[in-house]
Amino acid sequence: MSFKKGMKLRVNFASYNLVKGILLPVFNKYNCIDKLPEFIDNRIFFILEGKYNQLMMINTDNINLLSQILKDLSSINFYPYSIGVPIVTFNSLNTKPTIALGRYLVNICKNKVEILDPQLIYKIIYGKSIIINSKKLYNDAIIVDNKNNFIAYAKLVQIDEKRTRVIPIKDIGWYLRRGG
Amino acid sequence: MESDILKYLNEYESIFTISPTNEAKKLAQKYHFLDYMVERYINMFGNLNEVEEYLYSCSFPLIRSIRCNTLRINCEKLEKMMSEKGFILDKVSWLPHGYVVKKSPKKPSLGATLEYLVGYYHIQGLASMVPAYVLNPGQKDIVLDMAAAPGGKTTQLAQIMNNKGLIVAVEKNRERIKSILSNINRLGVENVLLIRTPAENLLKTNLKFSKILLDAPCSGEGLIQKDPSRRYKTTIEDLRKFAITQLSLIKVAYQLLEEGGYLVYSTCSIAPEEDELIVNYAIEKLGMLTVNVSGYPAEKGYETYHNINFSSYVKNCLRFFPHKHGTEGFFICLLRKE
Repeated sequence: MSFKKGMKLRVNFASYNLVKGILLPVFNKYNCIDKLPEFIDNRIFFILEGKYNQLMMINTDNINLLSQILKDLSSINFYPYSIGVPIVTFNSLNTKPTIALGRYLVNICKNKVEILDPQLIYKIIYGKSIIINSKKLYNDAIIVDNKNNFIAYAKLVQIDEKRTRVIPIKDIGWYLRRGG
Repeated sequence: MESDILKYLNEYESIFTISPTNEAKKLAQKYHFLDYMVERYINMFGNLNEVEEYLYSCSFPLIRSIRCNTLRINCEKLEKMMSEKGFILDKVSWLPHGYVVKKSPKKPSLGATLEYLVGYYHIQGLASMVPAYVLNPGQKDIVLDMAAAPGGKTTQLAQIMNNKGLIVAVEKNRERIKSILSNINRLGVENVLLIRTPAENLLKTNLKFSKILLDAPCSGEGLIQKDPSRRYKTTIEDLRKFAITQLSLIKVAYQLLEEGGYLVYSTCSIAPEEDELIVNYAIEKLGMLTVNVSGYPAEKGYETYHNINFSSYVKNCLRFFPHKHGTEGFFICLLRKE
């Protein structure tokens, strides 16, 4: 990706501590902080700094080659559009997890709500709130189906003692609406 | 345009000179095609019965098909899940992960099921699954996907590589690259470095690849069933322009390929002007070799077309036709750099 003069774009390998600092708020929010070291270990991360910052995660056992390719590209003022999976976007104020990260979080986070009724799941993936018959246990949760598939990040709002409103914040219906 | 490509095209200029016969004009009128296109089909198939069979087959919608994504699901489980929703899938014997959708419920549509959104499958034409299998990258390969949008083949390469090795996917179009990233994320692909640039810019680096997929931009003459407007929107001059782009790209692919490396050239077009003409250039002018590919119910590439003799090695290429194979029209050729 070439950029007009004046626009800044940088790609940098992200160290363990840097990744930990960036992911901490997300892992905290969904109650998986104890799994953070394990999640970072054996994975390679890059930060793509541009219009907004993205933390990217790639699965390759050839880090030297990947570094060489990135170096070659930057030498001619070219930068990648993405490196593996973008997992969060962030700035100094907040960190937002991507839909793609959800797939990893479902296996390690405790703040999860399982929705069994497919009709309710379809409502969520169309971006609509649903009401579930249970007490609110946390403010922020990951919504999964009965196969532990990531469906959405959601806010939970207590309606009364037995009912909770689930408000999707970011859901996999995005692939349908805007994914192309 | 580079002089060697211009020289090559001049050498084969007669391929772009078509004078439709009365038979071609009649059939063109009957099936609502441009008459120059039908004249070419007469040259390709050699008999009017088959031309008519082909033209007739273009009136029916393409059979819908999916690729089961083993990065996310076991295919037998997917079959069962889809069956519970009213989708009857039929495994295609010659594709490791390909299924024909024999029956669908009224709702949801194939592209709006939960299984689709969580990445269990990708909607993909049967013949368009073949190039990635023919390239057959291993888990240690460094693969270049030269015109990667919308990412169906990129994600299929990742599936074959089991998310190992490295795929460098290149797409120059700002809008189309978004669809690649969306598919990468949806299908659980983790080994792709995505770059927005014309592929020729990679020549400014020292990069070399062991395997390259060039699914070239083309007229889409193999997708008439999907887009009927293709019966009358492409002129012979358009085909010439596509050929120039394709020749330039295959030359770039050759330059980016390691010695002994493999290139798959494919198009969703049945036009020899976009297919054999381009592979013939790679053989005659770049010194590449074609490799025989077996295991697919496809026709061989045309050694002769419109009184033009191509290298006999183009017969190693594969051609898919809707009236013969029940697939979209498609062309695939495996080449090796010596």
